[in-house]
Amino acid sequence: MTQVHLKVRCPHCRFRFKVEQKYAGRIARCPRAECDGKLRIPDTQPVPRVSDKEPASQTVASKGTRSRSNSSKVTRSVSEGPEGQPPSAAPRSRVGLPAARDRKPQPEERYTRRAKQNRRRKTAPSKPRLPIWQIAIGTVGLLLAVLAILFAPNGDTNSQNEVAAGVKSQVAAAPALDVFKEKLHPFVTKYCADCHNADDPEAGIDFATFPTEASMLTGHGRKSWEKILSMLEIGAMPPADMEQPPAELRNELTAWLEDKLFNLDCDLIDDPGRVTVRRLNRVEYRNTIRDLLAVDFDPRKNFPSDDVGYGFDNIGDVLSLSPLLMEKYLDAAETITGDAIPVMTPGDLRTTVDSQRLNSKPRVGEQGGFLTLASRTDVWTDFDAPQDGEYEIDVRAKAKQFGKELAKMELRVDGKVVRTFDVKGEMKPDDYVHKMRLESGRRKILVTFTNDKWVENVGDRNLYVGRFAITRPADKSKLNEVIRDWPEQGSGTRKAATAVLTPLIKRAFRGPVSETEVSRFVDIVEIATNDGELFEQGIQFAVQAVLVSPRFLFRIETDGRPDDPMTERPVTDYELASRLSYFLWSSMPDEELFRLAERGELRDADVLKRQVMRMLNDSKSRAIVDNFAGQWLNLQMLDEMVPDPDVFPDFDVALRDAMKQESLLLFETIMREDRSLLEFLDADFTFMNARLAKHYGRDGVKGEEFQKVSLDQGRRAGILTHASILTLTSNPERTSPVKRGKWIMENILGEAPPPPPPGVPELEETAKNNPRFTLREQLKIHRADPGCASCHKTMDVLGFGFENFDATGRWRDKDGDNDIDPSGKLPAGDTFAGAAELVGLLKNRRADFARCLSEKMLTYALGRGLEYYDRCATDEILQRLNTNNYRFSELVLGIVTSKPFQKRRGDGERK
Amino acid sequence: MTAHIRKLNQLSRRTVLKGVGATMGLPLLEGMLSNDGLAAGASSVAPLRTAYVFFPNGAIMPEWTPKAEGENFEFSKTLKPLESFRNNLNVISGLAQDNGRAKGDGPGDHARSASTFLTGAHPIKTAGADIKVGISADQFAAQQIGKATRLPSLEVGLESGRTAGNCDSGYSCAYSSTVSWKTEHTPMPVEVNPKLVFDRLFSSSNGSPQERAKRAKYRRSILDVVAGDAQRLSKSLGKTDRRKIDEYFTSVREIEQRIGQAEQSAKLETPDFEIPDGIPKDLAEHSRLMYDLMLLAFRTDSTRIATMMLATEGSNRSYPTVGVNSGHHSLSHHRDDKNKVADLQKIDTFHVTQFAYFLKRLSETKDGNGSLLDHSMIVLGSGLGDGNRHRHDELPIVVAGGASGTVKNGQHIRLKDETPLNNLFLSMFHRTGVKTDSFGDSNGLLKEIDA
Repeated sequence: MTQVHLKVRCPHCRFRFKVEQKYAGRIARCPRAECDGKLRIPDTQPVPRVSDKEPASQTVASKGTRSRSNSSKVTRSVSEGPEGQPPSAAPRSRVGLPAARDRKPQPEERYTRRAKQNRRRKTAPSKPRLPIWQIAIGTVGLLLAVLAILFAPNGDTNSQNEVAAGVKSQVAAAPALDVFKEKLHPFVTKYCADCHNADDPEAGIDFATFPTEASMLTGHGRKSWEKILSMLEIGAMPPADMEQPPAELRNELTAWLEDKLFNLDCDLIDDPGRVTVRRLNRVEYRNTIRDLLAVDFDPRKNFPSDDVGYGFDNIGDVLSLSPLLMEKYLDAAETITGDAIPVMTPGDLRTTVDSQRLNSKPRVGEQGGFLTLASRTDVWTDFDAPQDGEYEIDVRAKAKQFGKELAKMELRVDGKVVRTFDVKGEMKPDDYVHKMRLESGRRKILVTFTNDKWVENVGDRNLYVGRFAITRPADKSKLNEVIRDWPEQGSGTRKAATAVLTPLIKRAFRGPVSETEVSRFVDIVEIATNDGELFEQGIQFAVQAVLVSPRFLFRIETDGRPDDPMTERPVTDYELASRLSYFLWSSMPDEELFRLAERGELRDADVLKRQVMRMLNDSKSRAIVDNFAGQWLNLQMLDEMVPDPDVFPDFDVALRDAMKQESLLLFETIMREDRSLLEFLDADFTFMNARLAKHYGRDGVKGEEFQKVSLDQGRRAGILTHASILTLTSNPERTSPVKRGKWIMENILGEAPPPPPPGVPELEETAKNNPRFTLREQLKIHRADPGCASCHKTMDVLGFGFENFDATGRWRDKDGDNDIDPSGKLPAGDTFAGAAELVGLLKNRRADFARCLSEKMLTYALGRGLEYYDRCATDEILQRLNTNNYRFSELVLGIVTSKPFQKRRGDGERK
Repeated sequence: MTAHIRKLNQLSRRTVLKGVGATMGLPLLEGMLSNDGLAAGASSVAPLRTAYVFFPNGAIMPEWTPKAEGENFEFSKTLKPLESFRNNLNVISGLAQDNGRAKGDGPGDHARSASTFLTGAHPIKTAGADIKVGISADQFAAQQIGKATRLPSLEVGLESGRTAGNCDSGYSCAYSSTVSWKTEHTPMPVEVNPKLVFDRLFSSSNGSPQERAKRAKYRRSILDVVAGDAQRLSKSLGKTDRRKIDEYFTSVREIEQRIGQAEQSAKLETPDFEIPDGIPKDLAEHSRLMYDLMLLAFRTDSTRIATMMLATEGSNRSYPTVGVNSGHHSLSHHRDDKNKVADLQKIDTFHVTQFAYFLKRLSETKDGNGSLLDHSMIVLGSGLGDGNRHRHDELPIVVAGGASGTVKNGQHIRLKDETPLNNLFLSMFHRTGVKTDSFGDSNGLLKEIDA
């Protein structure tokens, strides 16, 4: 049936939509709920259109149904059972390829994946799964044959040639169909190009820029098409109020796109990717300074916060350097070097106690800077000697002489007489100096007037005692840690500076440095000493320069052909050492890593493995707990959570910190004890201190220290039942099943729902329109919108499973007066009675969880967002985990030995 | 002068400008004017300062917009605190930041509000790499005229950016935590700690002249060495890496220039300004301190361009100081709920009242032959109009300051709908000597404000 549509653009919000021509000239309201503005439908520009009878809601529904009907078959046929053995790992070897290819045309095995994190790889083991999210799609065999040609390697081994030949013969038998040209192109022209064209590329997409299949798969094109595919899959595009394509065509094309975009042949793709230079973030800066100069400097107080990308704050592309930060680096360098290389002039070492501050017994008066001692009197000060060493005690004194003897002043230290001075001259102030060794600690420095003489009306011998000045020895012990070579008398500044700076710069720049490079820093020392500054002052300036050098502030890996994406190389041993240390320690490599790098031994597989295990065992690996786990689990968000004090009066900072600590400790335990990653999901133990135990209503935990406790099996298991996660996914006054569900999808299953499509009202708005409905009812209304349904049907169910936990994670049986109903049925059909069972179902999706975690950790380890080709690396990591009981160390080793971690290439997109 | 100082003291209550007049008085300011690089013959003219004050989540527009247009309009409920400055400001209605609209990018209006506010450019929707919007008005001006002062520009705020995750529907947090963009890729973080702002303005003036000279000398040597490092490195880097190192290099150069500026104005002494170590808990106090610091920066001619973010865009902070305990963002989707609208209006009034304090301080600070306010153009506004509906047009905008006599104040100007906000910036550029024919999506000058 042919209908004529008019294109309309809302003058208020610029939303575009179409209406049937019969409404031309009428006044209408903008269909976009947030806008709802009045407008007049124009009566020009009719666009002939073939209308289709398939509304979006039906499309989604039909996909869902298909998913369910096929799912059980999928699960059983190619994957491990819920508790079964890992699948025989499909080997990466060539021999594995035929099997993988043979399997491919089974339509039951195919399912769509949503986000790029979920790319499938041909040689990968099929996923063990609970098909919550899968939508199996029937596929045309023909398409696959065509695909196989495209991905057949131009191999040189026998087995490969056999494969290729086999595929070719299949293809010869089937007439090739150019799907792009014959199906996809007409599809987008008809359903998409009205809003996504050169004149007005909505969302930055202009379909005219994709004239060929190749243009779709390279560079920017691939990113656009991943977005397009996800919009098509969830039924968000074309918008619900626009003409919809027939479901079958939509499914066929999404399956085809899925294959094109995500089924990779890793032997062909084989791309290590490229990391942008990474500026040290605040944590890395602090740790590096600690390990380089043994100074603890906390940049959180004054550096601007680091930019976050892909969920982490160590992403090279995202970390920027503003003039403000540069200024902070300069100031920090001054502070840090002042601490590490203390420059002490004699004046700095002297402690002066003025006469007013001196103690005396019997108490005597002070006048004009002197105490008058007219009889035997003690005058003293208590001096805190900072260290053992040679001190100089200097007492100013004068005397009124009488009789044969000069006035005597006895100097005692801690009660022991060490010297007796004759105070010469008549009322002539002089400094009486004694040098001696003092031990560190409080020392009583005392002088006594010992030979008072007085004859009435004849004469009087008096002593006048002025200020004490105590000069401590220059403490070069700290200085000597940095400065091991001192210039010889009068000359040798350059030589000594070179000797001091070369090893330091090497460590600071985390790799070899040339003499010329060092000499530039030596110049600074020379300028300073020529100006009459102390040698150590010169070194201090030079080290400041080191600390603000781009080679210190950035982790830089330089290439021979930096702009050629086809030139690839293994990272150097030094680069590898830094990649390891910043991944596992958030800091610079230590001596041992440097030594191995220098000898060129770090790449050796056994050495590398031993080093990784050593690094994980080191206390510095706490960094991966705080920085990786903290960010993966979004624990920092807890700091922003303020549960409504009227509803949760007990919530305080101590509780919040304890919540965080519980989750970090679970991660740390799994790391330290090298346990299975799956225990994150269902650990039957956790950690509590008294504050947290009180919150959980658990007896017998005392004190601030955390202790390991076993969990009440029926109620809690693993990270998803931690108060931390349950709180940070709640609203201030109530739980939010949607947020909880979304959090699980993003951080456990790796299926981040795309942002809601344009024009769809947010859940909040649904709620506000229907204030009297329960949350469940509100969500039901929300899900009625096809644009929302595809994501919410999973999110909401997952979230409702945790309804027995309130917005701060406490157990509850009722919400107000209503009983909690934590049961649910996942879209794929599995049912659960509550959180514990749901956790069990989630654990069955171990491969999805492992993939999600691997991708996140790989992102963190590389410091860049993952690209489609990294799918090959994560597949190998998954295989490794699968055959090694998901042990934590295997994940780390898998990442460290992966291609993107071990290699790099020039900048740019590969064709 | 003494009376003047006492007046300042009374005004600032907690943040006492003790003896500012004594150390930072007019003679010094004039002394600096003569060597600040102004064109010959212009040295007796006070420079024109510009500041952009941003608040998030839009405003309750019916309470913001005055009913009448033209002169002698009646101040609206929200703008009432500004009434005594009627002759020092214009209220401008009808401005829009069209690029804040989705343009097919879906949700994220808050991220787009802040990132378009001073740029008039459409931000790339990304949570990671390729952050890109456009250079902002303050930075565009700073590039051309910022060299005249020690700091090309100053960026302050009252709320730190979030450090975790996306801030708004897939937009990097950078988009909503700053309005200032040095280049289309480089956001300028805001400084929220008053003490650090002060240090930034005056730390180079610490110590004796000899110590300062020594510090400047070695800093320069240090920067020379590392700038050389950066340049050599740059040659062996790929294009993305090069961009990062160029960013570094630019920052180094800017600080070198600043050292040069500091040496030229060696007479500058650290104002005796009492300042707390941390961030004040009371928002009103925090806000006043920041305005005081902006005033100090202008007064000492440390910079002529400043931005102030009264909160990050999409901020959900509450305003207990005016009795609003719910989050600002949650409230902003008020759906015409009377109580929420009332709370929001209180927040708007709070910001306007604080702004009035700033204007008052500016008006009381002598500058050349007038007051600082006479030689300023201060924009107060948001990147959203109606926050409930995420409207990017009908923005709440007030422009205060005499602009050295080049502006006709005292009006409520109603512009044609969809007039680009960038037209205002372009008009400001022309007054401050920034040369360009267009800026972002500007399509003309805002002649309505011309004197």
